Amino acid sequence: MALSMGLLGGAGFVAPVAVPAFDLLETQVLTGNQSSVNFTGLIAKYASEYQHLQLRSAVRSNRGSTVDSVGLRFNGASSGYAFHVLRGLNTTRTSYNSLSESSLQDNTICGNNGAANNFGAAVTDILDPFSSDKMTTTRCLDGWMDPGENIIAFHSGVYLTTTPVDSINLVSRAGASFVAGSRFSIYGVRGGA
Amino acid sequence: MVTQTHISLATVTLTSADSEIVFSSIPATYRDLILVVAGTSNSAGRAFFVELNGDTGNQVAQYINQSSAYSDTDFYIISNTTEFNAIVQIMDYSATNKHKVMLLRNSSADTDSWAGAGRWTSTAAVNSVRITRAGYNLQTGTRLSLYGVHA
Repeated sequence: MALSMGLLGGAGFVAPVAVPAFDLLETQVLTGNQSSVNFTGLIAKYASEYQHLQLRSAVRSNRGSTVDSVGLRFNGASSGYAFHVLRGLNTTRTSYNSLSESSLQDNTICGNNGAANNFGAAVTDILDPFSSDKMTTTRCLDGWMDPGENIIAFHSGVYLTTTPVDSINLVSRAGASFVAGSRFSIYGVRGGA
Repeated sequence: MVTQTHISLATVTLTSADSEIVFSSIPATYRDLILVVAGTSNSAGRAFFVELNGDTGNQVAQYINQSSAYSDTDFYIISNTTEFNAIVQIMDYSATNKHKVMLLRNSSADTDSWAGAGRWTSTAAVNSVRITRAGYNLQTGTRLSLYGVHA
């Protein structure tokens, strides 16, 4: 289907106006340990303007290990998620999935025993979170490297309900806390005019 | 209050082949950088290193494609003599309390699809990004764009 860019004109035609499509909505940069990070009231604040969201993060936890992972939840729900992961860990490619989870496994991060100043980073797209006629899906690219253990991964996930997303909740899947300096930013992406 | 983000900082479209492109004097105004490269090189599958602040070392990286996974001590994009594209997310580039993590999506549709992650083990704010490979070139018409992302 051809989409007119307004170059041909014609009766009744309204030339599109360029509108910035990608906006920073909120950022949290932790100044101390926190067991969870929450973005709330999203429908009232953003649903009328944005179609998709993006979460960008650089995170470290105080788990007593070199590694941890972020659990991504919506609306505070601790069940009703499924995900798939394709991962490269050193010389090994692996894939795995879960069809009934307490959160989406969003990205690998550094734990307390990892190298100093090392944070795991991720970019997660959250697609159609405000729609009530489809389930919210996610896709994530993330990476974490620590001496002897390096990970690059794709994650895809689904929130198994058509309930619109009003809050985003991030936790350590190991039950640890995120540490100071961890940063979580959400962006809004407008749909077509 | 929302902030428009993904600000175009610089774009170069090569008018002649070049083995080195440098984005310098990058302001610390943003949180992340995004480097977008689309074009061709003069050597199929040739890696072009992505170096921060002129540092040719102090990196660790992990890659995956359709047939392999491996670690390396350099972070790079994979070029091709047919059209390739690469998007590099340089996360928290202006932070001075973190090492810099880079995330890569890299495609050369007639040969490979790659993802990669790199870590520059420095807490210095990034003020330059160099894409380079001695002895090889990104070809005329290759476009490299750098964007700043607010946070």
